[in-house]
Amino acid sequence: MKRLQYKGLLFLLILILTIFGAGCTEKTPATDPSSPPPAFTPETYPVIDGSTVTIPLSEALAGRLMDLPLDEARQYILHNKTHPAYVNLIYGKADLIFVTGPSEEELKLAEDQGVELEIIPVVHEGFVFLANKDNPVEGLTLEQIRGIYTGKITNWKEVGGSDMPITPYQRPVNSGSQTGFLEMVMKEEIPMEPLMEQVVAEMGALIDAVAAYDNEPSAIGYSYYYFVMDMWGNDQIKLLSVDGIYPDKDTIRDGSYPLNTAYYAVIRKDEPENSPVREIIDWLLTEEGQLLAEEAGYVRAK
Amino acid sequence: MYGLNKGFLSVMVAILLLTSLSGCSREGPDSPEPAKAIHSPVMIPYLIRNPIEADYTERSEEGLTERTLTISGLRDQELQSSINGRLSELYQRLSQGELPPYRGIRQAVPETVTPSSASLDASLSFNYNNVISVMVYSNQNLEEKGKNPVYIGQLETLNIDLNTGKEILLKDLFADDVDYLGLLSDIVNKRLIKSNPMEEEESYLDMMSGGLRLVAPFKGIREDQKFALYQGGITLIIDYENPEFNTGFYANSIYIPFEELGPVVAITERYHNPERNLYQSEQPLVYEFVQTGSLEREQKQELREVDGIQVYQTLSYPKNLPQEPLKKLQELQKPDDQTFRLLKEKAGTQEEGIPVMEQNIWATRTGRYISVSRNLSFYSMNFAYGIREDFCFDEKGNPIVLEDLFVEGFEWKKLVAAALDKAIAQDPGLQGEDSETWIQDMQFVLGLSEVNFTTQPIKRQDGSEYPLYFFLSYEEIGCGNLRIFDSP
Repeated sequence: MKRLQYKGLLFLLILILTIFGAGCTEKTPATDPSSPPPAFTPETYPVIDGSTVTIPLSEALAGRLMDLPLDEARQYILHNKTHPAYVNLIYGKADLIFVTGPSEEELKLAEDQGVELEIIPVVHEGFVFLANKDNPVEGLTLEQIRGIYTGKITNWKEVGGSDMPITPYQRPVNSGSQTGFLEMVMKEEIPMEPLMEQVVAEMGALIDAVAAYDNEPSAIGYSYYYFVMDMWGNDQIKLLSVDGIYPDKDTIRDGSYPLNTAYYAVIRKDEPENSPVREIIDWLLTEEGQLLAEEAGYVRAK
Repeated sequence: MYGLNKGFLSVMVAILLLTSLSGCSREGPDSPEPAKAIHSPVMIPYLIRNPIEADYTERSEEGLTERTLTISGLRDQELQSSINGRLSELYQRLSQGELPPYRGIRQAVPETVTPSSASLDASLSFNYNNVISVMVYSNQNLEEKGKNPVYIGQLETLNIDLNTGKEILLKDLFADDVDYLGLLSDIVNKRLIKSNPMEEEESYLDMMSGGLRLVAPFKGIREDQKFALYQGGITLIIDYENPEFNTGFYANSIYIPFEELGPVVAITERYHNPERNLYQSEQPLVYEFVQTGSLEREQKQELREVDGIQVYQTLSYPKNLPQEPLKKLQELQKPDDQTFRLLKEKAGTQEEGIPVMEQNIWATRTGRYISVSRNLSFYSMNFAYGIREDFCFDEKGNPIVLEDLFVEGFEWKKLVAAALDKAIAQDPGLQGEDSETWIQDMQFVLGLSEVNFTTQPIKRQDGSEYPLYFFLSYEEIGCGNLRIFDSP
């Protein structure tokens, strides 16, 4: 009995050490011993660049592969945004980039420089439409969305909702979301002029700006799933199904949700077999790598 | 032997629990003091200035400039030394030149690179109600041969309760029944939505909205959020401790006025004790109104032409004003085309291009008072004209006159006349003017820490004509002689 109590105390001590010894640092997920990731030090870690939206992925990956706490690994990760990252990769200043898909300009630059790009989707992403949580409308078809944004549909009752005018919010011209909206949703159709609002600029002057989504009962807006799912206050919004498919991790992952895209690992195609960056991508696409991406907030690709 | 082991282990367990639980929090109270729960609503009708001095020390060496501060004026010298010691520790820590753990900093700055210049600057951003906030900016400029220099900025804060010398945490600012994290998170989220923070490219307008960029979803403000106080609100410091934000190698900040938070900020109830003087000074207390009125404003601007004069007009006032101030605002907005034409005549034909006049009409709230003002200005090469009209109302919208501000029996007229005399003497264009002429039609509005006075336009020796502005601080008047402050 005494032996049992002694063991109990020892167990408690170990438990406390385990729980609180972690202190204030953020932790990366536990390693699966069956598929050890490639190991690096800050000195041997490849130069990785990318888009802003993939920074958390890059940081989680760096933490795991360098066996560093996240807040320390973060200090070695510098993403220069999408276009500079492509440029850096093409000119050999980066070994691997985590980015949105290449633009025509970036593909042309690669071609001009004689660089062939290898583009591998590593996580999926969905383009989602938002409305107030109390809006009875659960979903829209792509046709209805285009109708709303071309001004042909102006009242929620026309799409099965309450008798209430629709307030369709857009995003600023040339922003990533607006580009996604035009390419994935509107395609050939031209959206109506966006709602504007007056904002106070320098010296108190009022200037016109594209109005930001404010979740009023009549509102509809759009964003990327990654930013919406865990953001503060998302209990007040609802995501709308599109063509009958609700956007969630499963439907975005399996591609059944129609407004689907991805974030990619891009390398130069002449990267040797078994090079460090190829090892990194291979590992990221393993079950453990995908779990790490999921824990960082992304929708897994596999 | 067993008994010893058991006892030893129990002590170890207790020590570990105590030390581990203190974990991630900032330094808190040494021992909890029994305190009465504070319930909302709690108002900050005004702030009480701490009669302490901030003593600044400046140092400049090759590549390093430094301005630090210590405080003096507390009765408890031991407490004062302890506070100054903590400030000194903070300066020392920031002066060591260590790289703050910003995202990407170790890729941008190799370990071998040392700062080519650095600066450290401390300031007292809040000094009221027995609370101080010290903000310390630290900047480093790192240059590696053949590469662009890297600038690194860091901002640390120390918020201290002068009653005890203990560091104030974010939760201590609020009434006990308030979900302060939810409240702050809602406000920050609202601001974020306005600045399109998840878009990679930041537009000019996004910058104007605060320039906050996200790399990951904003999940809310945490208990250990770094902050400082200002006269009118709380500023949240966004840096490497907020990794969901992309701040580069600088600290960013989000300023939240007290009025946006609502009646939940308990800094008066928690820290001010009228029965206890913490200070060496025996002088009467000095009060200041809290900055308000930046929220929920109606704003308009227009440019119109009157007989070849461009008239630029702005209108700005808080929503939910009582009837009388609103009526006054409407009255002031009526086109004053006669004045515009008169001014054009006065300016003559020397103006090249189209003459431009600016008319600003606005209302502000100061404590429970409302001011409505109109300012018309016209400038040319050798002629300036200005009109200013001020009107003051109480919280119900009743107009108030100057004598309403003062307690009965106080000789305020002499004080105001002396201030006007002084202002006339200091204006080279007003030599020989008599204060008696101008004191009759004088108007006033309340400022945060002073009464502001405006005369009718006075003709200057160069032909220009505009009012004389001067003020009397509440400190000069003596807060005890004023009826405008309620008991805290």
